[in-house]
Amino acid sequence: MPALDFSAIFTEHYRWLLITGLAMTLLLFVLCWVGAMAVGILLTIVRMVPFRPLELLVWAYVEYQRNVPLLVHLFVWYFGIPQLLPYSANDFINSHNSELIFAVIAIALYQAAYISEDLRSGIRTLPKVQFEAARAMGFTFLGSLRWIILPQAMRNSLPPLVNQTLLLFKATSLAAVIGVAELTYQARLIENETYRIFESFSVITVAYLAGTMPLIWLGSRLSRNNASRTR
Amino acid sequence: MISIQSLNKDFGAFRALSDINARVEKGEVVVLCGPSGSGKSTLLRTLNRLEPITTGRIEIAGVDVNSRGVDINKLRQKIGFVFQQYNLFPHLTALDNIVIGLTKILKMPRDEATKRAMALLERVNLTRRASNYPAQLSGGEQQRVAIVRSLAFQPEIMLFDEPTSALDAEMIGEVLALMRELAATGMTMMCVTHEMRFAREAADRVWLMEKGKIIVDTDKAAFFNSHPNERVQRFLSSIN
Amino acid sequence: MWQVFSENWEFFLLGTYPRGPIGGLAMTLIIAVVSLAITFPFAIGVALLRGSKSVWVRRACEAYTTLIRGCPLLMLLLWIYFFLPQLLGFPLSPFTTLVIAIVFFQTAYLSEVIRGGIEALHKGQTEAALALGLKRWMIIWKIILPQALYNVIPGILNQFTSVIKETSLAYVIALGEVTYSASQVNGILMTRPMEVYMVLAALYFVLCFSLTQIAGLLDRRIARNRSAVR
Ligand SMILES: Nc1ncnc2c1ncn2[C@@H]1O[C@H](COP(=O)(O)OP(=O)(O)O)[C@@H](O)[C@H]1O
Ligand SMILES: [Mg+2]
Repeated sequence: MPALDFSAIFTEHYRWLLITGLAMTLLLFVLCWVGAMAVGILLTIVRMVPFRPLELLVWAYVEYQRNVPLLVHLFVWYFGIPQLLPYSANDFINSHNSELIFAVIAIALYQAAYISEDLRSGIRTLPKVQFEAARAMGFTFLGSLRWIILPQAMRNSLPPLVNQTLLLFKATSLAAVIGVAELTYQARLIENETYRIFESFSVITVAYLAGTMPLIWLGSRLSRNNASRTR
Repeated sequence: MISIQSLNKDFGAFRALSDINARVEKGEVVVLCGPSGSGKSTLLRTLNRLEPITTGRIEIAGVDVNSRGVDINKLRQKIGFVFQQYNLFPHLTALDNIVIGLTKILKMPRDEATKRAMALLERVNLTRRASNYPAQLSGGEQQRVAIVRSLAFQPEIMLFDEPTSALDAEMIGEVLALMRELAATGMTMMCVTHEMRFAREAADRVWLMEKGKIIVDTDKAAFFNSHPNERVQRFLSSIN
Repeated sequence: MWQVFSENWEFFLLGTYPRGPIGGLAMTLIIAVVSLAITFPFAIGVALLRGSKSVWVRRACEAYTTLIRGCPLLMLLLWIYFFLPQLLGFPLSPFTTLVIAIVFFQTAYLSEVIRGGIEALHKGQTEAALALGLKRWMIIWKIILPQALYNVIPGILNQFTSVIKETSLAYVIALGEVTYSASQVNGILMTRPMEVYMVLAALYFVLCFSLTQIAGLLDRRIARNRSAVR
């Protein structure tokens, strides 16, 4: 094993690769998180509509997402979907960083399934009379959701949502496999050019841990808080 | 104030309320009693449309509760409803449980809402509990907060569904005292309760329900002083 | 989609076996079973050590699980694929590489599942056993662990589905399990990626969905048994 030399991977060129990689990881993370949350909340609301076929549809969606590896979802989107799109659409996507677009769609849809499950169980633990009490006071249907039900459901689901955020952050690394130039991708590139395996992987490990450790800390704090607050 | 005409209410094939005809005048206090499952809660809940009715008509202050045009949320603000299980919002402090309705429904400025809420808490001696969460309050305290939460809207009618039956014996008194005080102010009230002491002291009329029907509707004196109906006698002896 | 599967099903399920090395879904299952089998004793060890009397042992185990939870599996795999041979001085096969990565990763998660099972047991169990004069390790080995493991069978099954999904990373190090096989089929057919990858998704779905359904069934049964005992 060669002696450690971090300066070899901190030349101006590689520094630039790492910085853009970090930026891409953060961009992926933010886009996926927003997308996953939006779709997750939407699925939760659709599930509350008392219409059996809709319920079944959401159930099938959630099961499909959860029982197929994320990597396969990425392949379906990145390799498969363009087969179904017309040329013009493919042209458009290809000229707009198709890797990033498909990675965001695949990861967001995957995590959304988990998020909707967490939100659903957060709502299910609420007694139905909370809703009635709100309606009896004169809150509208949406007002009751907005001011009484959702805040409580959110509080119940906060620890699992933080955990999903953690998993989503880690999941962004898989985008490297379809060629999104994020941290993991850049580390492999640098390792490949410099043979500085330890150095390049150390850097991204530190980067990932810097993102995940606060989330782990927050998650355990929240679940401890919720457990100690007796109802 | 309240007028119920030929009211029927079905749950599927089961008739929970059957041909109810009754009136409550302004300022009257009606105690509603009867065996469990006789339809007391259901009747109370139809009054503010928490339960839709099957046929019949309910008028409150001259307004048909079930008509399409009525703004049910407006109407509900005029009808306070107190549940057996208090149903305070557990994510809000005692104070905020009162404030949230004022600011979000009545769109009152926050400081004005807080002032009104504090005055109400003061009225039930709970000022020091203002910033406590429901889980930190005793059952009696929670129920008193729930009652003043309804009062914050300055309702014209208060409905109580067994407000003391989830409470330990030593807390029942404080809640009943508040209800008596309220009755004395001339509030129109309908109370489902088994507390005959309360009925004796505060009620104007007593309704006795059985199997979805009001079988006795009489004034308090007649109810308690050797009412000729043997079912009244049976009911009174069953709860004493 | 059906055509793609019916013309290539042997490759999807078995790889080139019996003419060449085994691959496809069979390989996926082999990796998953081997990984989980190796993970299991480690996970029990970590779960028990987290209840150790020594603060340092407890801290070390906690640090390990926290660190692993903070790392993407792909990164762990790359560390092992590229760096471990350098450290050891001899090469590792892709199979060994992936198994090591999954064992490292899953030990952290599975130990949490088992620890949950231990903590859910009634405290009285230990006290009753102590009162009988049993030695501490005897209590753990003969009384606590069997009950805890029985109760977390559904959790272990769910973890097994996670492992199956994680084996798809074999693709990254060119190890011939089902995802890699699919990419090879895709490479040959060239023009039908959607069908190929939907077949792949369907294979995973059938496998993992059945497992999670069984886990759910067992979960309800075990919960029922437990409430019947109490
Ligand atoms: N949501 C409902 N669905 C079906 N049956 C109901 C429902 N609510 C009440 N009931 C039935 O209606 C009858 C009256 O109930 P309720 O009004 O709660 O009685 P009480 O309050 O006098 O004990 C009972 O037999 C009860 O089982
Ligand atoms: Mg009732």
